[in-house]
Amino acid sequence: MTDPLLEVEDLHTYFYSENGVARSVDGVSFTVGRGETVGLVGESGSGKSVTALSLLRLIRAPGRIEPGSRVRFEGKDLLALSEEEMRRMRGNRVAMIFQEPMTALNPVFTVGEQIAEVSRIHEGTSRRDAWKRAIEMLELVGIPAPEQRAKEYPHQLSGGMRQRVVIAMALVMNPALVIADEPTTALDVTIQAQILELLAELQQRTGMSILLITHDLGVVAETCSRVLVMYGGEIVEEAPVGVTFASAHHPYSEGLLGAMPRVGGEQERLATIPGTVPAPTNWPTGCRFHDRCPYAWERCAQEHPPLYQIGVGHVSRCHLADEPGRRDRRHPPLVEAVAGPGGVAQGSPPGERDNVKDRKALS
Amino acid sequence: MSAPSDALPAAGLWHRLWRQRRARIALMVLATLALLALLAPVIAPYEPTAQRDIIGMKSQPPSLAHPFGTDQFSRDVLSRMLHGARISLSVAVLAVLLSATVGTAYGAIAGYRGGRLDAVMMRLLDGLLAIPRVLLLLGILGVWPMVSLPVLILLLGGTGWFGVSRLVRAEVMAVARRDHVTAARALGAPDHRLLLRHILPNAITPVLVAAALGVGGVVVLEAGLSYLGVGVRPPHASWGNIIQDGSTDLYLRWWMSLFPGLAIVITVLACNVVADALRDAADPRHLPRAND
Repeated sequence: MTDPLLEVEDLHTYFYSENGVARSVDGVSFTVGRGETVGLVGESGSGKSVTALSLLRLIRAPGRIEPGSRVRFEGKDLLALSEEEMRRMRGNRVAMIFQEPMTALNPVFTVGEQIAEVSRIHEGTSRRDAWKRAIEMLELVGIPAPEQRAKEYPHQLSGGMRQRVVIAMALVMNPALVIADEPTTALDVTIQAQILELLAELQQRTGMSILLITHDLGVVAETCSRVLVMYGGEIVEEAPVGVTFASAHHPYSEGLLGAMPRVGGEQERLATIPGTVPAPTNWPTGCRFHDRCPYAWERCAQEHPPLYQIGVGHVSRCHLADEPGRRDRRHPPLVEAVAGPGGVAQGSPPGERDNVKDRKALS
Repeated sequence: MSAPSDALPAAGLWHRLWRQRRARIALMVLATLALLALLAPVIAPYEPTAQRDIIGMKSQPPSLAHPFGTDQFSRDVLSRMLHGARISLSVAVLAVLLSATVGTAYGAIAGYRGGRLDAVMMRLLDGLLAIPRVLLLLGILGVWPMVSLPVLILLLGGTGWFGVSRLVRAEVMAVARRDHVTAARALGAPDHRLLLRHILPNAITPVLVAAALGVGGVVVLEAGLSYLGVGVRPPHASWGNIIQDGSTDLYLRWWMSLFPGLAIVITVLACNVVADALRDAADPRHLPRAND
């Protein structure tokens, strides 16, 4: 493959507070190729949203992208750009789609005005031309009667429509990379499918790359070619999408897959991953997943695992790669041993799936 | 489907205000007062400074010819009140416009920039807020008595923005954290655009409420200063100095103080009702009933 579009190397984003330093993103490296869709998966607090915001340099004090982090995009080092140069990249070459389409739109302007604003900012387009472009964009994202819809306010549109508007805003400048942070989480299941289809179709047309952030492995299966699994501010597994689903290596990925409902599956109850993501101010020593891991042994509590090469394009941050025999010795994880039966992890009904339910990470 | 957001479209604000009966009444009262003030030269039965008969017509109680009576200089009180309304109301409105503008700008910059600048600006504000406004004005007007009306407006407006800027700062800080502001930033919107288009329009309701209250407040303040003889000076009429003219012999000329006093009460009451209704319109959870 030629040069990737986006190259993230050793990204650290820390938040400084009185309670200590939250190492929300702690040494993340990955690439996104041209025209590729990469999934970034993890539960709440795993650091995926902070990663997305870091790429656009939207982290505000007390957060900071640590020195030594590198984000190369289209051959430019984004972290070395001036604030003004970075501003000109946003919405232009890299755009972002946010999770909650109601709150991602300004309630006091019509959706047409908001879409038009993007080309007015970046190209100084005249009001009239920008408005025309806004209507074209609304048409492109499949909104019927775009001339009328453009004059409506966000609250007059349904959730699915609003998300289409958000997508339209992101695509006005025909960006090379779109970061989609949970683009379908707030939507009905039927609408989710439509939005994903729309994104795939737009990608076909424009050749843009998508970094899709989600906690929903079903979404990943439908859209992505490669999957990054994030836990505790780190990437714990990276694999082509087929490999992730067929033979995930990391116990955390395994847990996420087990918690996903499947059509025709034999399981009666969905599995859960006991416990919750630890606080980013205080990651466990050794492997950050060890206290929730059903395979963990002494080594896991002491030695922080590197990314082991498992196969082609497949790496995993788990000592099991070193000692595969341990996979046969499954046991209740540490958190359960401490909490005991009836603890937080076991007490919740399986339908709730607390552990994969996402809330926005930090701020 | 998705949870309703706290932010209601400002577009519907007027509609939700007008839907409240008390707001309709108060707004019509204010509109009537403004119209009377505007038309004072046309509808006032006499010249406000005309002394028709210095001996025979002085200190007349209300009658058909002089519905609000005459003062000790035989001037018609109604005519003076109508002309006084021009001054009292325009001083109040202009002073509030000034303080709302200054307060919004100051608070918006502090709230948006945050950090050290914010800390410095807020400490300065704390200092200013610690000075009692009336005493400050009395002090200034005491050493500099013959101020013109524009200077009076500047002084009233210049001492009235401290509270507003606090409100705006808090609101700007809250709105700046909303998703749509981050989204606009992610689309490359520059700072001034973020502040002017994405933050301020969503943070302006408390300013409107404060301004409505402020108009009532300045009417009273100006009346008070004029009553003390340092506000609007004769021969200009203002509600305050008409009351003062009558106050020397209140038991002889009660009408002179009563009617301008009532005008002040009605104005302030209407302003406060509008402010209250605005607050409810901004947050419909406060609305008692849909049609009240």
